[in-house]
Amino acid sequence: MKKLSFISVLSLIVSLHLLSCNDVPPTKVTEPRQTVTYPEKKEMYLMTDRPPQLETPLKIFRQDITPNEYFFVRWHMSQIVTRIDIDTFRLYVEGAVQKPLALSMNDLKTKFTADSIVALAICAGNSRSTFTPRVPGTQWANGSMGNAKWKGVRLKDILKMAGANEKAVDVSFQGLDRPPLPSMPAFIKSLSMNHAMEDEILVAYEMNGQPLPMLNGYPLKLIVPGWYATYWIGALSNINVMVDSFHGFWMAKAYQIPKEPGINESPDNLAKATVPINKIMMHSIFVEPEVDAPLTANKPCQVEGLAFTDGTAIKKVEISTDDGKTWIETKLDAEIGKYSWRRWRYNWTPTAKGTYHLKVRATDVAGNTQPEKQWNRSGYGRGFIECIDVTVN
Amino acid sequence: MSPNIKHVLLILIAGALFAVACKKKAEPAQTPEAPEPAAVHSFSVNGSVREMNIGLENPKFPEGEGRSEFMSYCAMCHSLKYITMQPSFPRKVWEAEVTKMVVKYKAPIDSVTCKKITDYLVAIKSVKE
Repeated sequence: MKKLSFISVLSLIVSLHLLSCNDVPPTKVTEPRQTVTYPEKKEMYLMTDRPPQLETPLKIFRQDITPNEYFFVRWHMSQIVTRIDIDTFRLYVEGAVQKPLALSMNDLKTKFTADSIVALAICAGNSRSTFTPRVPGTQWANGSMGNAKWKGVRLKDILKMAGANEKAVDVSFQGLDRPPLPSMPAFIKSLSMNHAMEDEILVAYEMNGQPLPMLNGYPLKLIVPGWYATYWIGALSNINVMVDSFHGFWMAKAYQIPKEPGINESPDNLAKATVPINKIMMHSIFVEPEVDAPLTANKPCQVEGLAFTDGTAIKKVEISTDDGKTWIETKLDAEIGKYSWRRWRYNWTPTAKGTYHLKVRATDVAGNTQPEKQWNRSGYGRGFIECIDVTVN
Repeated sequence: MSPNIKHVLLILIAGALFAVACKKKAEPAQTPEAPEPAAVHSFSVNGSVREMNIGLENPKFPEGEGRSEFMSYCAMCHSLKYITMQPSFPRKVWEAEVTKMVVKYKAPIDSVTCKKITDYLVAIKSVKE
């Protein structure tokens, strides 16, 4: 009796063990960066396909103006615009206005004076993959930004034509994209009425002399120079003037940054008070040489990069080839425009072989310079000094 | 039931389990899959109409508990590349992300399924804290 029960229990245990061993723990997934060629685009890095997010290869930033076919793509809602009939398209201006408008593309091109501006579009989460510790979100390197010449109509002229209430508080903006589920908040952003009435805010119908690529918001894109691109609504179709404050999800809940300046907090001490993200943080990057680029001792290397702000003028950009011990002032290219990025250059001849930690930092005319460290839970507004490793043989 | 029959039954069950386990082990190694065709996209301009189509990716995921929940629920609103492009995170980060999908973005996923999805994410993409 005892023998039988012992064997039976043992058999059971062995069998069960064998079964569980067969359920081998799944392997870890690692996804290498993939290059794709999307409609109206050349080779770019695929971050996501639905909705699409594409990153610009760093080498494209050797050009002052980012070509449309390499301009970064970022949509929030999976029901993106895939078809536009420009003859029936209308831009609606509604809410606290004397005369609601339904403007056609022809109206925008003939009833208003055109204006243009060169301005940097930069995703709030650009460089997120460089934060330590890592944070979830779109894992951009430095390529979710682009410098373009935007042409269109001043938003203030459109609001004036509609007879917008001068006592209005906020103006909201929505494009033609739609959320995947009705329960998900639609992508609507807002600006204060004062901000919306500034000369620089444009409703653009041209990007670098061409209609916008559909992936960048054809036919219209809101241009908010000096502010992060989350406000630069693509496929803009609805403008709503409000006498009350707008508290939509994508303003009040998403895209929050610590209230204190610097877009900075620590993982064990997260900021209690937050505000909607707004102005572009001053930052500077290397464009050449690229990370891990092989260089040759005693051969001159044209070190080059970009610096940008919220429109505040840049005083200087310095680099360090000894991990921040000493700093050398670089040569700045002439300013392209107040809201354009600015190229810096330095001719460097490394003499000794080895690995170098190169750093770059910008200083503005108000005397502010970049911090060594910065972090926030969402990976927004990178402004801390960039360091890249290069090897000299 | 007499003790004898009980024991026989137990051995029979054990035997059946053993047989199933052995069968699983004996399955031949999977043949390598043919490479996925590249996603196809298109763009056209016909008079006043512009139209584009974006072909979607089809990433593969390892077998494991929660895989089917992960592949179906998460893909309701966005492609799974949102997850595959992430680095490995500790469990608490994945938990917070799944919670965010339900609480902030109103994903219709019950708490039992959330746990299954979180466990799968941890299985395929986690680091110890």
